[in-house]
Amino acid sequence: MIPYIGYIIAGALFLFVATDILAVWHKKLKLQLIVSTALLGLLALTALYGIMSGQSSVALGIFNINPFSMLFVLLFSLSLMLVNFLAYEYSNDYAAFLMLLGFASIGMFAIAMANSLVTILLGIELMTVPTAFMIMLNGKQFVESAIKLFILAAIAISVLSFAVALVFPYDPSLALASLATNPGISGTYILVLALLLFITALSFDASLFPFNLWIPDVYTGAPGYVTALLAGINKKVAFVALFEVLLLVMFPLAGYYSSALQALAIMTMFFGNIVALVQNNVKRLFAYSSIAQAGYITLGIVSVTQYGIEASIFQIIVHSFMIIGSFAIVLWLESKNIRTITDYNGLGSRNAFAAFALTIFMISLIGIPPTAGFVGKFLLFTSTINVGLLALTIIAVINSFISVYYYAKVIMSMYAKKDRSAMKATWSINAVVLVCLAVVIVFGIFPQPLISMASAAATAIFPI
Amino acid sequence: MIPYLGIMLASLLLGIIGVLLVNERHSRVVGSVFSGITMLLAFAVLVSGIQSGSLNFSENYIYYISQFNVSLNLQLTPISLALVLMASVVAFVTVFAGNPEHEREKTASALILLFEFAAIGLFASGNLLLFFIFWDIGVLALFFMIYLLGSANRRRAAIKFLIYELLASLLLLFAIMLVYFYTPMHSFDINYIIANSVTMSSSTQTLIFAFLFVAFLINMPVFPLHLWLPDAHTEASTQGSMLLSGVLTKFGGYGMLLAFALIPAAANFSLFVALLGGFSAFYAAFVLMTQHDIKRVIAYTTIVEMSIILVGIATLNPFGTAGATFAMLAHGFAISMLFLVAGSIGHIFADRDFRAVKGVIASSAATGYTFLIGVFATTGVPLTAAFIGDVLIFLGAIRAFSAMGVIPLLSLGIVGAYLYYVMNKSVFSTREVSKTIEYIGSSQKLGYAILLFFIFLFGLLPFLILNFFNL
Amino acid sequence: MIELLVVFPLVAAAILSLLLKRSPKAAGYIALLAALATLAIALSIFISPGAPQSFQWFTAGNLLFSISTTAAPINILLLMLVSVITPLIFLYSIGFMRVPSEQARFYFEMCVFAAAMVLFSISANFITMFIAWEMLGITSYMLIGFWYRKEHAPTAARKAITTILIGDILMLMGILLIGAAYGTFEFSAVLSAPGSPALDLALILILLAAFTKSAQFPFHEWLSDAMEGPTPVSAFLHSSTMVKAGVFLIAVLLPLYEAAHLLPVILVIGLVSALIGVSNALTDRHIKKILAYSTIEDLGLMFVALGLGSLPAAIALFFVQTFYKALLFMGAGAIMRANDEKEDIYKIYGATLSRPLIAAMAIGALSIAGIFPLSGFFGKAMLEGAAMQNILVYTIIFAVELGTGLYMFRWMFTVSRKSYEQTSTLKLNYGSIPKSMMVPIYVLAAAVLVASIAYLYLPTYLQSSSGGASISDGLIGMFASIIGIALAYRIYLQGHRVHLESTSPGMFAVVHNSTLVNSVYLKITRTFSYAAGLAMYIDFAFDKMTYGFAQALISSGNIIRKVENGQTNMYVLGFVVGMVVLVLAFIL
Repeated sequence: MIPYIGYIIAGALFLFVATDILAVWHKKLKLQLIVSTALLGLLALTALYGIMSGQSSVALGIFNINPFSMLFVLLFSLSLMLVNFLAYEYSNDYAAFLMLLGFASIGMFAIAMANSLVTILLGIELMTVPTAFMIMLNGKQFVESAIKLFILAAIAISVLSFAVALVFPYDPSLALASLATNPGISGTYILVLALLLFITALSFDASLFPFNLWIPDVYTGAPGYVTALLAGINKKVAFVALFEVLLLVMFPLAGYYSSALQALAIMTMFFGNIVALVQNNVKRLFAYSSIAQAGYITLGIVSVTQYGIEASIFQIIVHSFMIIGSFAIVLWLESKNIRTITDYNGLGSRNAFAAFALTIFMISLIGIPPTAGFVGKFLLFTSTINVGLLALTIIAVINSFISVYYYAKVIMSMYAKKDRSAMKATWSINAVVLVCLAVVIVFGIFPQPLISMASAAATAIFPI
Repeated sequence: MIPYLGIMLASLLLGIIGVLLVNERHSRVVGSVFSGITMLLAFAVLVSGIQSGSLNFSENYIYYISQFNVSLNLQLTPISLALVLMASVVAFVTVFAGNPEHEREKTASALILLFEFAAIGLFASGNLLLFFIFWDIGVLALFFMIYLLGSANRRRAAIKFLIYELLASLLLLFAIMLVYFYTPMHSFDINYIIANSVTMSSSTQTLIFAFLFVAFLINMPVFPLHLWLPDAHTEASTQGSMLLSGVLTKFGGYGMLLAFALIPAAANFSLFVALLGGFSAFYAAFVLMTQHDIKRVIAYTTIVEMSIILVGIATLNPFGTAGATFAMLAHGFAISMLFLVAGSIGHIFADRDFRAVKGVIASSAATGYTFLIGVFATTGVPLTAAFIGDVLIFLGAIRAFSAMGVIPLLSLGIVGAYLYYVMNKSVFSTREVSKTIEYIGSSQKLGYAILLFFIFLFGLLPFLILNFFNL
Repeated sequence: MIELLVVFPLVAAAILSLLLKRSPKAAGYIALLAALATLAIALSIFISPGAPQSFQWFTAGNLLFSISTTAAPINILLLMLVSVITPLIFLYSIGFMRVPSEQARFYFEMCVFAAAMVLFSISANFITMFIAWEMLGITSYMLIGFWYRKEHAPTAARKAITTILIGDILMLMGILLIGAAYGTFEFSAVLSAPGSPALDLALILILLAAFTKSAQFPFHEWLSDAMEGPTPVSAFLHSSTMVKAGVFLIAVLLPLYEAAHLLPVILVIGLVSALIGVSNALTDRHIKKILAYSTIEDLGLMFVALGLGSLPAAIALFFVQTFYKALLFMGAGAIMRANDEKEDIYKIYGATLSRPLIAAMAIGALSIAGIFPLSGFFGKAMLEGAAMQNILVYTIIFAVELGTGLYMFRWMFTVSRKSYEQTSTLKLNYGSIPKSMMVPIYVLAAAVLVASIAYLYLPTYLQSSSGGASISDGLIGMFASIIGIALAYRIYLQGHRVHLESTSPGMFAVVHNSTLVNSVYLKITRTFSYAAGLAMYIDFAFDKMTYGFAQALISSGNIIRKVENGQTNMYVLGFVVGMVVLVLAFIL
């Protein structure tokens, strides 16, 4: 049965891209939305089946089918579905967007299922470049952001190619998991250099400081649904790539990357949280928030244990939904010209559901039970304590504490005063927010199924 | 055996749903009904405990995170029984009597039930992770109570409250994670940890205790981490204040008892903790003397009383522990009654500065006399529940710290003297009669009556609770 | 049987609390009925005392908290005094209280007080005693502030409760120390226990508490202010019963004080208080405050007797004081009633217009001055007999006796002056004093006389080893009193009044030292306020500090955000620098 999963995924993906491209001509947008959603649903179901079956194999010679890859295929297809809804409503040129999304999704799924460094390199390229164009699609005012992303992405990708090139002499196959089996190579300077360049390049998309300086500008300057895509999916893809490179290829150098990532995580958390304190634009605030969250996610890798990876995976999944849900609301309000924290005054009485949902997302982002964000943070913190990194954990706890202030500012602003003029959100926003809210609350109260999946994925990816 | 605790929690959750479903006008009634059911169940627990002579309430529900072997595990110790009783009564009175203005009753009722849910869950949880989760739910519920229902400057007070409380909660989280990883079998189970925490190295124990200590110190609150409380009270609605001082501060007190039980090495610090508690009692009593807002005055009495409770906890002997528990029970009733009174005074005169409020007794005799009895119940007059608590605490303190242990009792003298001053200026005074703006309803009077009943019930029959303690 | 003593007043109080607004007329009679019932039971206990009883309240480990009562002679003595006085006071109040709306509240508070006082008189352990003790303080507070619409009443009530509260807390500390040290709260067990430092400390604390309750120096000033309360309250609580609780407690615990060598302290404080009482009584003008200072003097003398180790003398004073002081207060109330509730003795006239009244008053005044054969004489005689060994103490007592005669008859003579302008009105007023007020006065006057005879049995009843006083012991004291009375006659009746206040203000300030004491009280309060201000400043500083910290964090956010300048080259620079630093950190 396992090989069929590969075929189904490949087929569905092909159809997804193909129909997306066709849409540019036939312009039947609603139909296209249904088709793309159905295909993504098929992908998700297949992936779910793959996780349930729990087996590992290689499909078509290039795709790893195992709980790890399937879990991320599931996550990406679901998140893409959500972003797709947002874009349908708010994109000026939905057909073109969908075409670009098709290409980007190939990159995403390729990385989720990659079994070679080349796949990762191509996947990152395939994902980032169309994203830059997606930003540009919506009008002139977005061009600046797109160019910024494009220039910086070009640099990151070149660094990534260089890193891959450095590995080549040691392992011409460039397959994932082959260096790890060769313990003799640890400590080779060239490989350490390659490792650091991998971290640098992937940190660009994963938004670790100081490779993330572009994020606030681009997130704020991009249309909301692309921001959701960037924060909810692209960043997660980079983390997946990071897992694959660090755990499968560079595992003998765990000592190096553990300390490097520790430094990056600390800087990222502080950078994100402290600068977020002084933001007035909610979208920008969420950009910094998502930087800080990337710092937390990194904590799981720092411990280099299966349990830590499980925690990171859990948090990645949960954060995708939190941030897509949040950006959906931000996007909707932006379309009503509500941008700054003071603009959010009275949202609680204008649209109670949106305010409630945003409150829950923020509570979850702070990491307060009973939300999924708490479980994620709890798993992450325990993973670092588990390996005795008490100081790091305390720093993370302090950062959680700092973050309370800026989230609370937004929450309090929403409920600050009564404003009787009701605002209705569109059905797609409501649907997306509802799904995200359900995920955040349900997995906050009953996290065990998701933890089990993350655990299975971590077992699949973790060597030894 | 009837799973009382589970039914209580379920009834509260149903109550929240019920409150949200009905309209604004009926929400208070629905909230009162479900909260009342919970209160009756709490007393059913007490009665069945008295009948069987011991507390055998241990309930296990669905798994939360099986990886950590965490399930919804509820149990009752004598301490938690006392606090559950108190919380259910205070929440019940709060929901039906605390809002004479009838403002945003739906929001208020739902949040009160949510807070009650958290409080009962916290006091009854047999598991540190659950303890933490209920803690945070309670803090959030109260944050929204302060922010959504508070007065003009609530913004600053609410964020201050949230920041202090979440600092406490994060320290707590860190501490319980440490506990988990340093116990031999990796467990959050309170009973297991108490039995096995000796195996931790003393430096680890010290570290864990330091975090727990600071977290609970913030919540109790005790000098120097008490600053959030007066501000929160000034801005919170009457209902918020009742729950804040009545129940939320007991989270910290209960946690502190738990911390000393969990960490054997904490005994090394008992003298320091007692000194801090003693100092804090006097300090807060002095700051109290500078306050003019009746609610702030009452807020500082909370700090004094919680500091004295801290002294009781630090004695580490059965007397101090039972005394601290009893004092928390007594304080919950008394302080929520005082805040109910302060709320009524604010409602009657639209002012809470005791220098401006004149002749409470003439405007509402029930309010005036309840205030007076509240003062008695705060200063530990015999036959009120506070007396039992104070007596036991200081008997324990004398045993633990020699005759010096009794000194913090003097702080109650300062508190009493100032409270009588407040009475003199506001309640028993008609020199310049201030204008009565509103009258209070019968639900407030019933609220007074219920709380008075419990103050005297436990003051007259302390053995209802004390028999469960191994003194 | 013994528990019924407390039950009747409490039941009456409960009924009254239900009646609060409905039938004010019945209130006084309900209270009176309860008081008579209590008296009946007290009499039956007097006749057949019965064994001590104990009801377990709760236990804490090995510590038993119980409500214990005893029927020892000294307890029954106090019980009888209280239960005899109570109906008289209630009867007096029926005539005295004229405001219908306040009737039920008044009798409610009085009944609760009566219950507490009865409980106090029969208590056999510290817990029972303390419960009663606190109830006494609280009811006293309520009753002093009874006329809360009056300008000074609430403040006077606060002054009283503040002083008493300090005492209550010291008392609780002492009790807890004893409980912790001996594992028991029973008087009998503690009395037979060996001494210890904890016990000494506890005894000091309890002594201080007794001083607050019995209005001894330096806690005495509340008592004169307490006269803001209705006159029955002054006659009941603040002269004849409650204020003697402290004396009674020390009397019960006297062997312990003797063993702890604390008697000199009691003696000195007693003497100082007696002198203060006399000097203020000599100079005050308020009709009830003079009597209040006189009470301070009486209590001081009781402490002197205790300080001399003479329990019989103290009890004798205790016994006789009850009647004459209640009598004088009630008489004062009647005189004030006839004079439109005026309080300044120089504005009050014509007590002689009512012959029976002035006769009764004279009996009281002569008794307080210690004139043979009135009961006061015997009390003083025993005291002087006990003080015979100590010439200094004896001299002071002599001076006090002289002062007593002087101030008492200053009071008597002044209020008896004729007022030429309004004799007819006054006559009418004196004639219309209600019977219910006059009857208790006559009964008490008779009691003062009867007490002289009853006194002969007192030592036997108390089973005291030392016998009664010899009459000769008291003669010198009586002589002093007579000098005082003669002086009073010369000064106040023959018009040689000295206006010390205007002629020698410095002297006046010393003699009328209540102003001085009050200013010291105020200073202490101020000191506390300064400490409070300091504490508040610390609070404020801490608050500012936390805000400063938060502000610093936010400013650092403002600094760091400068990196985000919107320039792509800045971001590229960040990327490259990050990469280089990362690589260098690990490669080098």
